[in-house]
Amino acid sequence: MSGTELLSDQGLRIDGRKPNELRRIRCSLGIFAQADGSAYLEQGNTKVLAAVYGPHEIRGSKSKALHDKAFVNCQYSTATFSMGERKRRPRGDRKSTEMSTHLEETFAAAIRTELYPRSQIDIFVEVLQADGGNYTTCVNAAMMALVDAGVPLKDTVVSCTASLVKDTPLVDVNHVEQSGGSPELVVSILPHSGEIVYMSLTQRFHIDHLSKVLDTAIKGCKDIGVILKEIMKGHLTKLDTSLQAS
Amino acid sequence: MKETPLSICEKQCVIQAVKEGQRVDGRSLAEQRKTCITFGTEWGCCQVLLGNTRVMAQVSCTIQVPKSSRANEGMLFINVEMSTMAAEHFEAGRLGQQGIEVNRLVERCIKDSRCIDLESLCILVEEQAWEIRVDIHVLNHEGNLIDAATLAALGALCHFRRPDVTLDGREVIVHQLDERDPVPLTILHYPLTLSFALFDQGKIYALDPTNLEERSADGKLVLGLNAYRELCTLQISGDGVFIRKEAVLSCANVAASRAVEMVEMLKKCLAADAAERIKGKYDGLVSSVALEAERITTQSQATAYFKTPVHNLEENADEESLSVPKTKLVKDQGIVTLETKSDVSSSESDIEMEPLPPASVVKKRVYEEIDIGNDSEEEPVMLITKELT
Repeated sequence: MSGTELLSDQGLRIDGRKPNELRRIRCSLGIFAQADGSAYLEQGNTKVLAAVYGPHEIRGSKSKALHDKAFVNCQYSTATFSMGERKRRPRGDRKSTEMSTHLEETFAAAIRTELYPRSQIDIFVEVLQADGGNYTTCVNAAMMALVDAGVPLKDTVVSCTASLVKDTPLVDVNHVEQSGGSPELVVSILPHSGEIVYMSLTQRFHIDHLSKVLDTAIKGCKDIGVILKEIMKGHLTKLDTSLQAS
Repeated sequence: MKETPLSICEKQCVIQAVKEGQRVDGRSLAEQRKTCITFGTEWGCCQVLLGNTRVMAQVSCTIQVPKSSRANEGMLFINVEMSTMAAEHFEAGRLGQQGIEVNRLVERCIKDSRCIDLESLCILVEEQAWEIRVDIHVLNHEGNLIDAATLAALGALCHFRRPDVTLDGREVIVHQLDERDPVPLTILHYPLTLSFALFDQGKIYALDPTNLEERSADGKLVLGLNAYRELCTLQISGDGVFIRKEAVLSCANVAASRAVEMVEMLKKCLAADAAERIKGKYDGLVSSVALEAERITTQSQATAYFKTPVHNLEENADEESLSVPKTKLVKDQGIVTLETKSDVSSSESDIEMEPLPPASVVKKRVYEEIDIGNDSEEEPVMLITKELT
């Protein structure tokens, strides 16, 4: 698919969105009883489940324990039925391992790990349906699950993608835009300070566009942050009223 | 075997030095280590020396059935091998987290930026296409494997020649190398990566970090760029690194100009190799051994960590105009601007080399070894080195 079709002459994207429009976000918290925290997040057609266990004692080899902070363990997994072509194994391939590493790094930065020395926090994310921006949706879902688990965070982490088509930056790209040969910039930020925790880029564009695309991604992150905060508040007030009633 | 943990005082020393705009090996923050590119006698064999980091890449090709989703394209496969030879904590045959990171970044830089024209590798649609395989071997790990690996992979791809094929009806004839001249790959642009180690919450960044710097840094910023100032990959990673947008942009600008120089250097090396081949006299990777100033042993590595820069007073006077505003900037904004010190390059050679007494002995012995294998009396040094300063 050529780049010209991704943005119509009227300035609309392939799924009818404006360039700076996010996909619909739906989220529910506390969906699993056995996990300490869990969340289900939908960004457009990308659907992700996240579960958080911990902080608990180090499981497996004790050598992973850090004497001054908690060890964050993440597992990124894509369901075999999540894509058009059936995936052979949900995790263990290079791309999934890379994603797990990046999730670990991001959350090790965001969680106040120094409060739990010699312990472990597990984060499991599962992509149920992949429609672009899988990694960003996973970060957002994992963050919501951490909030649900009540793990202390320095700041919420939100993540968003941006692309560039016909010199116009697009926010929150979907699968068609992503695989259509346009670049994809993934950014995770701490919305309060605006600091970047993780960033990655695939495909190429001129360095002069970087500032513009980065701004779009950061704006997208902040917008998602506002929406997620509302959902968090709604969930917590519901919890509060149900507690008071009982 | 586990990696030896880094002591707190070593870490503090590096961090303190970087905060003062200095580095333990005497470089400035925006300076790369000495880069050497050598090619082997085989087509598609390239070795890159980045300081003491040594990486070799070998390209090979086979005819395969193309993927059904891309029936008119050849395939490119990139594989990184990190054996225990490079560092004690590497496990042969199993890539750890670091190995996967290197592999993915090289893949993203070279494969995803589409620098190789894969359509030209197709022989018969849906039936036969070339599969190009790049095997990257890390021979010695002294920091910044990513840059060395991408440069080696790119060098090897540029150097590689595949056998020519002709079609007789639907029958494919692969010509031997002596029958027809082999064909080079179509390379659309030359992407390279440049890595910065981030210190002090992403406020200070050091180009081309050594192993010691990598391990004491908060995180890493890897930028993939080509000579047209196009970004091909970008990655910020590390445990608990925070960086501001402005810092990313200034790093990108520094890296862009460096990438242009690096690509030029690679092209020069390729041209020199081609010229040597026409003359029929080339000695491949042997030359890279001959030019090595000191042999790398575990003991010399330990001492190589800390080299005190020996600046002459006259040179210091020249630099003053550059170094003064730099230290000022650290205090004022907390951001060190990366300035190119072009005039220092001449002085750098005597800082880096610091010929240790046993090194010259070792060097002599190496030369003798070459003479046996090469049966020529003079020492043909075709290696092109350039200091990127």
